[in-house]
Amino acid sequence: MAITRVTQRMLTDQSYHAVDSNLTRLAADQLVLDTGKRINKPSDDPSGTTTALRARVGIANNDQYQRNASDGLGWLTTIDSALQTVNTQATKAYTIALKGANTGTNPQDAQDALADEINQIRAAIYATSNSNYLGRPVFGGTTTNTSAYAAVGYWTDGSGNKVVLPSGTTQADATTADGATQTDGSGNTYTFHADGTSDTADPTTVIAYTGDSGSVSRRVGADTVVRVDSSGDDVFGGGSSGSDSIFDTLARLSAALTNTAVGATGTTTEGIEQGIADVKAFMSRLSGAQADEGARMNKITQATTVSQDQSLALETTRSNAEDADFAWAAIQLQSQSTAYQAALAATSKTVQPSLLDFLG
Amino acid sequence: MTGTFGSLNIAKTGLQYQQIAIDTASNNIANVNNEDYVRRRAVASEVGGTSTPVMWSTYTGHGDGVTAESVQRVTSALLDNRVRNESGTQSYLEAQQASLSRVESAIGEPGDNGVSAALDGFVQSWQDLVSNPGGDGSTSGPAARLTVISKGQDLAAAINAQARNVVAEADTQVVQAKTDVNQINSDAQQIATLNHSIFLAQASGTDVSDLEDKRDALMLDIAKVGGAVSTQQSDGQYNVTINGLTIVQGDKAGSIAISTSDGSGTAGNTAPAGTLIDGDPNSSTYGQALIDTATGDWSGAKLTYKLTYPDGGSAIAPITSLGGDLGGVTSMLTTTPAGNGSLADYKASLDKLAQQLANTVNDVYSQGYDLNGNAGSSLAATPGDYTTGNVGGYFFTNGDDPESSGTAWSTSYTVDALHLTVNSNVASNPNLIAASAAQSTDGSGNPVGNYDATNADKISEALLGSDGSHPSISGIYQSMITGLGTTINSLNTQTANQQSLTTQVTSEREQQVGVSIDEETINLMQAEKAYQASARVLSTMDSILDTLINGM
Repeated sequence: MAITRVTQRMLTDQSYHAVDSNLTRLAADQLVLDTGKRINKPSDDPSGTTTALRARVGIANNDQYQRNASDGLGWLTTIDSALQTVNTQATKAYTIALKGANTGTNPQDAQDALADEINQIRAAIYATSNSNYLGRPVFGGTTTNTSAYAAVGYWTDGSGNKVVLPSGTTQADATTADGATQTDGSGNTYTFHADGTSDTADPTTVIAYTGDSGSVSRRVGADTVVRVDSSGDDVFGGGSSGSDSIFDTLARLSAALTNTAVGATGTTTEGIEQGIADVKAFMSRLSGAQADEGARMNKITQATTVSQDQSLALETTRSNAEDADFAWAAIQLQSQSTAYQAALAATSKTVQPSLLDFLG
Repeated sequence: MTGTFGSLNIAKTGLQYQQIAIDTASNNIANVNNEDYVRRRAVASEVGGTSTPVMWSTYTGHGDGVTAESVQRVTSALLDNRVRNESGTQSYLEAQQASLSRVESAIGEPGDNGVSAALDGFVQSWQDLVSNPGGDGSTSGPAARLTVISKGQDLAAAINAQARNVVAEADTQVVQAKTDVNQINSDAQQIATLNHSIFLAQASGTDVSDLEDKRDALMLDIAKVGGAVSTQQSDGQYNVTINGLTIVQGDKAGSIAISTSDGSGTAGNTAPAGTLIDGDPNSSTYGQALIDTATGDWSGAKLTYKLTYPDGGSAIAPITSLGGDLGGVTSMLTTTPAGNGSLADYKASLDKLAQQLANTVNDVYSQGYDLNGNAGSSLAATPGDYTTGNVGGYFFTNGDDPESSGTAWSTSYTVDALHLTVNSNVASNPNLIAASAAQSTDGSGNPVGNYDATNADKISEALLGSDGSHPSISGIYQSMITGLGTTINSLNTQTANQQSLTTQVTSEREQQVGVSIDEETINLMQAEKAYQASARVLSTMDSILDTLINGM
């Protein structure tokens, strides 16, 4: 509609609207610069808000994966050094066993000394088997116990002497009752004495698995869950698999060397030969465990790299969606400020004069 | 033939008329900044002979001067109506925009302190629990368990805060609705009174312009508040309707009232008792005066209105649709089919979010085992009584509402956004968090705890929606936020467009009714000159008469 009449109030109203809307836009631009954010409320850009929120969730998840990965690497590093230590000890035990196999030439004193070394190695492996990460035994599964293996007691024979249980019998564990008995194939009866305080360097001390069969895993990527513990049962034996543990093997080797083995396989030569074979088998299990642990470490490292890349990409996405382009915002503010001043100047010119100013 | 003094008389009418013109111009100038004022114009009419010639009677004059036929109020009913309509629509949109914007500004998204960030923190706390599942008495201590509890509480508090904020806003809207209803009733009453005064004054020939100004101002107000529409009757009175129902007829005014019923027209127009956030905040009905807990709908007692007709009040009609501020306010308190257009919608979405969060966490949680080896679904034999049996109960509960007894999590347990909270029993016993997915037993077959934390990982996966059987909680929240953002964004656009339209029609009306100082100054000068000229006629006549009487 053509404007037919213009009144002073129309000019005032129009000036007010112009100044007001300029000021509103100026405030909006200033807010962008003040907060450094292009989106300050969801309604500023609804779809950008979704992008930003999704990116934030992704960033938070990836941060968490990286934190999980560093915890997982802690576990695997602990396991790695434990396995290396055990490997050294096992190699030593193997060498000693080979020396001990020369039964004809070694005097019994020398054999006893070798047995003593085996006992020390047994104690050392026991200590390493209880390696822990942040208070949790890395070979103990999900147990709440602080150790994966523990001295649980000793067996005595019919005469009440402490003995190393021969193979073919059932080893005691943490739940075996005090006074429990069993008979081996040769008709010898053995009695169990639950006594957790025994010296672990004494071969007759029973070292049993006190962990559980659970496994510990860490989520290091959206779909990547990596196991970060090693099953004590798989490495050292003696768990639910029912296999003899390395501690039983070394105890029997020690007993054979000192010529105190009891039961069906009680002869010295057979005992030592069996010990050599068992230690060798243990060493091959160890290599397998080390290879497995190394592969899992690689998996975590790779997942961490992927996760870090994703974090970076998501951060870029978030920033693009959410953060202000300062140069653009500053220019915008400047031009808005100019427009505001122009509106003010126009107002000062239009509101003031009327015909009355020009009448004499 | 005119008399000797005829010209004197003509000059007198000129003087009189110019005086009226000067009065009119000065009144216009005086009211230049009065928003309700409509400019007036003195309409001149020549005084002539008889308008109807009669046989044998001849008028020999040539005009007998001027008279002010009327002082016209320069207005246009069409533009008045346009302005009222557009202003009403603008009030409607502004009410919605202002209300939702207030809610939006308290949401804090996207940011580091909103529900989204709290949700991320909660999901991560479960992952941290996987890394460190120790409890009270373990080497590492229950730090991660305590973090899960505090992050859960943070998340619940963030959702509670939004819900409280929405309810408080809804409460404000209810108060506003009451104010609007009073305003409409008062306006209607005043319009009826003015109708009567105008009718009487017109009959006695009095100038009713000032009364009409007042009535138009009231009419604009009632249109802004309630979207009322007027029709001018032949006797000059306004009939006013709201939602097509007559509220003012002649000198009688009806009234409207808030009805808590479904608006079916039953008598007893009472406003909702109390306001939304009255009452004990710990009560499970807190904040739900207008919200139906089962459906999340604000039905039950949603705001409806009834109108009592002007003719005495026996007839009462339900109002189905309202414009203006009251319409905007009411729409904010009503759920929409799209589900993201009102406060009621947003509250319903929040409730769904809280329910889904509780469903997801409690469902997976109840499949796990705590650090004592008890199942996460172990509930007290007596609901809410955790003193015996050392059982935890659900992770999320609805305030201190006891959950059902002895059974696994059931989605029929209702949780709403205002009351979502971490079970206080779990919160005070971190060992009761069911992080393990496997149950261990000791030698005697009794349950014992373990450090398996697979269930904690499952909960975090379920929250992210990655386990295939639960929806992503952050996805639900994001679509809520996007919905709200889109609604406000579109309201902003609509309001801005409406603002332009309203300004446009207001400006058109102002062109018609506004006072221009320049114009009035010119009118004033014209009248002044004309007055001087009439005075000159007088002095000329005086001089002629002087010649005639004294000079002869």
